[in-house]
Amino acid sequence: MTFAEFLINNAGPFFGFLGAALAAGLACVGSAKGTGIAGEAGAGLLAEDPSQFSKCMILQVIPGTQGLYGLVIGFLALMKMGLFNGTVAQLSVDNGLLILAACLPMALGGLLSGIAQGRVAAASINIVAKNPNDWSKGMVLCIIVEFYAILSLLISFLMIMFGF
Amino acid sequence: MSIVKMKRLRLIGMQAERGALLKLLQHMGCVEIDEPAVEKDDPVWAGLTRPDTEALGRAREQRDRLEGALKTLKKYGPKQKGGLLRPRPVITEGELFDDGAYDSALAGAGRLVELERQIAALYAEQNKLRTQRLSLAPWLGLDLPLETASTPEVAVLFGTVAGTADLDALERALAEKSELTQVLRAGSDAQLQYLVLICHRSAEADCQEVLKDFGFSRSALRGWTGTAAENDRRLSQEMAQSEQALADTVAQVAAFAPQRGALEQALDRSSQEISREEARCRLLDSGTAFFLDGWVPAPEEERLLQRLRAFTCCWETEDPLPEDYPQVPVKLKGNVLTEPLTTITEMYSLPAYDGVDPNGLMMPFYVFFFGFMFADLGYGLILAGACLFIQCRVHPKGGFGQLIRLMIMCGISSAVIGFLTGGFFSDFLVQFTGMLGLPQPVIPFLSVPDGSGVPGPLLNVMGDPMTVLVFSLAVGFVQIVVAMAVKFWMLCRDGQVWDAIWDVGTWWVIFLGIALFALNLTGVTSFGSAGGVPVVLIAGCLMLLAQGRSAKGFGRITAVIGAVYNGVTGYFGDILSYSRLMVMMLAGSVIGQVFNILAAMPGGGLPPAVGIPIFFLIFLIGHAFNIGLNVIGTYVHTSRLQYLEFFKQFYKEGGRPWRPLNITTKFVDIKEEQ
Repeated sequence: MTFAEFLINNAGPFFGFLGAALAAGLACVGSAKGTGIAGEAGAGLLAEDPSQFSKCMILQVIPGTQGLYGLVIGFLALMKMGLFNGTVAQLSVDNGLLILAACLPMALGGLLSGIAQGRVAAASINIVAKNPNDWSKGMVLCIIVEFYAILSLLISFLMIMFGF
Repeated sequence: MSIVKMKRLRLIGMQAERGALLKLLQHMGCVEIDEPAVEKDDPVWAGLTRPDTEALGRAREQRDRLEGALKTLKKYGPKQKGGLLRPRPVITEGELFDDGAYDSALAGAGRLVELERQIAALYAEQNKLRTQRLSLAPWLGLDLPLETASTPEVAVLFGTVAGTADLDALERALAEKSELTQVLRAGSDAQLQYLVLICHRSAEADCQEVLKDFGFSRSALRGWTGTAAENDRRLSQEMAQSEQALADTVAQVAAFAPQRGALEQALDRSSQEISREEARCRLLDSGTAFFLDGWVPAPEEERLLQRLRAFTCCWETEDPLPEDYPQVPVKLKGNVLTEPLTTITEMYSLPAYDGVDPNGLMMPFYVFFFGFMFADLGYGLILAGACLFIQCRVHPKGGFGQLIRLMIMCGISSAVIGFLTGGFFSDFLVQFTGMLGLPQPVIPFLSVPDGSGVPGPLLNVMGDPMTVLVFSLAVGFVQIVVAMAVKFWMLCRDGQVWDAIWDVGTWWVIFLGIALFALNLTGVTSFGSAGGVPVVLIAGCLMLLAQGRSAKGFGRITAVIGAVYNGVTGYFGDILSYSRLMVMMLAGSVIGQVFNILAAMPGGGLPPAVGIPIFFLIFLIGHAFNIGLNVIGTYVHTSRLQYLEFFKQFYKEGGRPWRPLNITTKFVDIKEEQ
């Protein structure tokens, strides 16, 4: 079977899987980068003051949610495609492409907001270093970025659930 | 729920009674002592002096000592159980200010600080011993005493060559120069080889040349007596002694563990001394009298003046003038429902003295918005229960305590709204019964199988997000109208009735016009004729023209355009921002549902005895994560709606918090005494 034949036979599932893969994969990359940036900054502070571990850890975890959102969208896409009840092979090309399009907001939003949030979290670790009592303000700044990941989640969710 | 009226207090008293008077003020906790405004040109004022700061310095030194002692105890003593959830002891004010207990705690603290110093010295000594042993290690193979010195006939050279140097070649080269030489090899490490050269003085010059070729450099081994091995044994003995001494000292520190409570109580006491001494340092002294300038809340004034009669002093109180308002401290008066909101207000900024206390206005919206976004019966009960537990067990104080009490209300609100909108750990009931193949239970609002006939959820965010979105925006509109009404009231209170009508009333007329227009258009109602409705809109638009009333010439036109642009983008942007109510509600439900599906998936084909534990394992991890995430997110977004959308309309911030001279304790609670 050539690649072209494969694509003709499986175009619907292929595009659907591509969407789910992008939503989960790119959002996880964003989270990995975000938590990575924040983790590096946190480790720098912990070398000086290990008692701030819990605050650093919470700040590091915050950019981790994009990966979870990506997973949720990827999962819902797979469910909509019928992967879990065995009807995925009958997915039409149209619907596969719709799923792909629906997954894109989460993929892009998760990737970029995760990185941006990681940078805010890393900067907020400076607050922990200088004024540990004011660290919750740093958390508030991080959650402002979070909202845009939630909006990406929302629009992807609406498109998947009500798209077809 | 208002801003407490303050009165300026000026008091002149006798220095002999100053200590007792300040103690009374601290006990009553109703006077903030301010820096007096000194009129420098007046020779009478200029003649007054500041009290000495000696006692303040002493109190701060005591606090530092107690803090140091508690730190030492925390570092070397046994771990404390309970952590943040340890209840604080309740003592009377008399016990807190008991001098005997204070002095003995200070003595104990002094001993702990001394022990800490000993521990540091022991660590330093051990480091020194370790370094010495390391420097001796390469010489251990040598049985020559290290102090062996050159004699007039024989030169003895201790030294090193590079690790790569060929020692056999060195020996051969030396032997060629003279027979009266001997090389003793001591040992080597990664970089160097250690050796001793013994040679007759007659051959020394020749040997030096050979050594130079091999890169020999002399080692300084001054201060050692005996062989390296002897020294090493001695050092390891000293090391063992030092270890023993360290263990003994740490044990002595640990023996102070039962006194931790006394030390903490003393630390609280020292904080009271410091705040009283700081207040004293803000007074002004003449020879025998002192002058106090401060603020007292008007409701407390009578109670204070009653007690002041026992002292030889004179006083006056007066209402602040409007130009003094920026200096007047702000105290919010709340009840059990509005007081927890103070933490939210303070995070933004306290209202100005002539502003409005937002707590009461904000409270219903805050609790409702939080509940609407969090909306889950299970989550709400967990949040309220956990916060109630903390509240009952430790009675947290300050901002944290307010937050905990706020979260109890928010948790209850989430549970109620969650019940009405059909959320119990998202769709736990559907998934769990589905996995076990049981019929779905019938519970009104919460779990409604098709055709069961009981009322369904009032709002179904998963099935019908559009209705929820419209509802969110409508609730947001209500909050904005309330904020505008507050603005209207504030302007009227300050006598600017026309400003209120033109700036706020205009928009209400326009909103009304739009609402009527929309209702007519959709045929919901035929209130007013189709032709009559735009009249309301036009009236509103005409009123907009008044926006330029204070500008002149061409400025009027730009003022009107600016007002229209800002108004339209501002109000509509603000109302759209309330869409986050629906977004957060949906995000929480979707993530919770995905965890439920994931949990039910492996158990679908397995017997219930295996499937149920797997279900609850995934369920617990997933929902714990979702709760944590949602509490933080919901808290931030609810606060944000207050700060940016609600406060924007009317709030006048910039108040200075009222900081009375009072008893503020961290480790103990003071029992109320009559």
